[in-house]
Amino acid sequence: MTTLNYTVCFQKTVLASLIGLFLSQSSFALEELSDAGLSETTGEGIAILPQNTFMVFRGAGPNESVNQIITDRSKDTGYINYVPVGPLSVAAADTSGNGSVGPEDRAVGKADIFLYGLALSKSDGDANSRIANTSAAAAISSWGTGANPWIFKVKTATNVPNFSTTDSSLYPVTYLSLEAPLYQPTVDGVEGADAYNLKLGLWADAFVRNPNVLATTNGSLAQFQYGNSNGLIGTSIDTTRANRLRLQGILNGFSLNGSQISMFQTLGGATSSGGMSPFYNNTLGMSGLVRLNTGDSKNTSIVTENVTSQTQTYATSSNNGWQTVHAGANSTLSTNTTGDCGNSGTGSFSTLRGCRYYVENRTRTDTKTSNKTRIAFNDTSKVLRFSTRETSDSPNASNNLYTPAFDSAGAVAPKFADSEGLYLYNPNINLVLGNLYQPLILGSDGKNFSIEIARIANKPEIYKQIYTDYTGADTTYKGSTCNVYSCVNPTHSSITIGTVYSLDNGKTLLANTGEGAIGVSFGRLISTGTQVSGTSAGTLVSLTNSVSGTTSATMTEVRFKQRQQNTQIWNQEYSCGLFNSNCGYKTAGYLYQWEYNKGTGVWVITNPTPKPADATPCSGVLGCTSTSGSTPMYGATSNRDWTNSAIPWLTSRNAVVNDLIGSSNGTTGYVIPTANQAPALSNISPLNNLGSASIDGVLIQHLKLTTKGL
Amino acid sequence: MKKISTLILALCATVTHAELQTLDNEALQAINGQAGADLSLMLNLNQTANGVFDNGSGGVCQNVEFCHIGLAINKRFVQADATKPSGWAENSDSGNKLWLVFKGVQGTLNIQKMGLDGADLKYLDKSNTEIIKPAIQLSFSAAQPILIRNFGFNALSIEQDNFTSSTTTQGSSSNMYDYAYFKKPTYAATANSGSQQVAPATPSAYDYGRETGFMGLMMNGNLAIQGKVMVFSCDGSHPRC
Repeated sequence: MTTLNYTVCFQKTVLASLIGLFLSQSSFALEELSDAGLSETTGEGIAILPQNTFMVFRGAGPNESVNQIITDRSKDTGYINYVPVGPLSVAAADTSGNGSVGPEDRAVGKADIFLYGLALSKSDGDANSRIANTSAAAAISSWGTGANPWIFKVKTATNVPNFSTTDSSLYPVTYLSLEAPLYQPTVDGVEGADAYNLKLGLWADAFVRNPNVLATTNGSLAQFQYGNSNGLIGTSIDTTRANRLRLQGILNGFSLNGSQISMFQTLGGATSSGGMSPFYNNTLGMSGLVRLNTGDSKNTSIVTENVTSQTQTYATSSNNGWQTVHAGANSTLSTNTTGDCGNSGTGSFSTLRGCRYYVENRTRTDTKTSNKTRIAFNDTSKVLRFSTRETSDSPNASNNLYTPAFDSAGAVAPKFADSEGLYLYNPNINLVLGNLYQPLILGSDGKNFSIEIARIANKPEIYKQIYTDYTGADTTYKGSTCNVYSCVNPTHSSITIGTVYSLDNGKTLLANTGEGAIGVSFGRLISTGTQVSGTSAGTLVSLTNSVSGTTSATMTEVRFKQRQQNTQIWNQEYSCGLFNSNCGYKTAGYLYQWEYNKGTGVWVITNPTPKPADATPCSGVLGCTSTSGSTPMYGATSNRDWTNSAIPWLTSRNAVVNDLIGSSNGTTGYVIPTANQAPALSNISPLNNLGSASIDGVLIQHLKLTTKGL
Repeated sequence: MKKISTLILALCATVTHAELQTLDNEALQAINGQAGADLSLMLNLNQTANGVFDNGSGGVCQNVEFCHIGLAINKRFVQADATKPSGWAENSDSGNKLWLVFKGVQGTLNIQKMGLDGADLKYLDKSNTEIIKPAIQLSFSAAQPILIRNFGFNALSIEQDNFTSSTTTQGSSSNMYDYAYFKKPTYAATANSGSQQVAPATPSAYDYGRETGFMGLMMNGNLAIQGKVMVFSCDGSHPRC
């Protein structure tokens, strides 16, 4: 529990009773709930349902009419200012790396950031408006539904393991959570549809502040003038330097549904061992699930292709197109079935490489006739856009240090150009920041401030709740990725932009690599005929909207049979000298046959000739000789027949075959795919379309962010 | 801060009517045709009437230590440890207690109009039965925006007590400046003048005299909110509870 302190201490019980007050639905009198009592309270909460609502942060001034607020964007000057405090560190200011700060260093100032005109409303689909231009179009009719509202509740999770690797007990954890409506567009229907079509708009000015000048609110430009014309600290100031980044951010068509944040007290058991920290124990723990989804985008494509005909033809129609390259009868490359290998004889045979391989190939030509069209894509209803260029009639456009916060008299917001900037189409961002098993905690080294997502404890009770078995074989691993398709037991984050799909119901994501896939784009994707060329800045090039024609591809694949000499040895002769002296086997017999490669590491001798038995031992006073068969012996003609059905075709890569047949006859190891291989027509995707992107299955094992130098 | 306390006390005082009785959904729903209340709330914290930090002579923040908000999280202590870069080692059981201190807390918040009404809300409960639920309806009009004037804080800082505490005992000191949330260090005078461009990485003219910390946050503007917010109890029959 936190303790809020000024001059009085809010005790835990006070907090508990406040929560209890909100939870008591129809009680007679307000009663304090103890922590223990609260932990027994489950399944109740405060439901919150905003309706017909929009919000925009206007500049300080007199009240305006709703119509004025909706139609006049120049007064979107209410701001949130991030105020820089504290000196720049030497590490930041010493850009030359020479150990000290001097005229050779870049002008590194403090960042002074103003976020202006924060607006939240129903999306109008325009990527250059911060809010729709009528009150009806801007109003979110219902942010959630009566059955699926925002909920502020206290709940108890039972069976949570602590951090200790030796304590296998399970504990209850009571948490306070704020939950957005669930992500269930089909269930919410029309009533909750607007919650899936929100718009967030804002713009910002970020300045480099001159640390040597006092902050003023009178609009003095000196406070933002820093650096000479080369960008160095130097000894002079170039007052024309643009020490300001002006940025507009628009997010269209998103939902926050499924998001939630929780606060709870962490369990104990962590020690300094195993990469853990006792600082994890019994302190304020938090977890967050941030879901910014614009919806399923797997079918979004800006190019359609219509194939009118396609063919696949082999060079010869017989034998499924296979033709003999080498008949395995001659020691050098030959299609003849006779040669110097001795295939038709019964005597000795050659083992040169030409006699060891039989090779065929076939050639296929694929053609495809199609027409391809880029559809008229001007849809900005689901896009995250950052832009910085202003229009030529934007107020104060020539003053690159102007910001409305310092203009008390005539504060006015700029106008932004309508198609420039970074467009991220169809973003789906699902971030998992800690959970009950791996809390997010706050820490400090006494001076600096840190946010840490605790290291995952090395105990199965915890890591099996977080890790994923992607094969699905071990169901004790409960973790899964949160994305637009699925978010059950979310432990892994995902960020996708553009045309992204899942083949396994959301377990994993894949970015579409097709030509029509959209996603990241520099400048708005356009469907008209010209666009800025990449080769010369500002040059418009003609962009073809459609293309048609016939393309073809010809491919050759090779298959072969392989054999090698098999040698068997037996004792062909046994003999003794006078009076049975010096008895023993005297001559070895050799049987040479072909054995054929079955392709699985097994070789087989076809129609084998049996090896003779060893010679029978003999005896005699005058000596004796006993023989068995003759040597050498060779395989029968039938052993030399390539057509034996026991010999399979091989297609694996074989360097000897490649060398034997030469590359003009094809190369082993390549198998022509079944699908038509005719190449695509020329790419008609816009030049500024960088395509889709997917970051999937991000698990935070341990993360610590800390300020430095305080 | 005194004003807030008074406000809270005043609010508490209004709920001390005797004879509070249960109103169930049906009874509440039967009540209709009654106009709600329009509320306006004005909060002015540590500022003068024109929305400027009141730290001048005689102002409530002339002594800036009284315009802090300190927040301590359970079991956050440090103990002196020369082997650590900061000179302090984290400790979750005892040591100098750490506080997150918001310095120069100030702001004017003027909710010009907030409508408070009761309204019915329909939804299907867990058993697919239509429920008519009485709800509190808070409504806002963009034409009467929430006025926010310099609302925020000047610096955010981690400070520590000069005495030790533990999870079971709270330390104390007779010197108020030993308490983290009263500490008011400021940045020293700069070594270089405004015209000198080569600033060594020491306190700058910009920081001179400011309370130490690592960031401030300030909001200023008219927050135009249109719409209404239904607030109702989410009981066990509700699909989400």
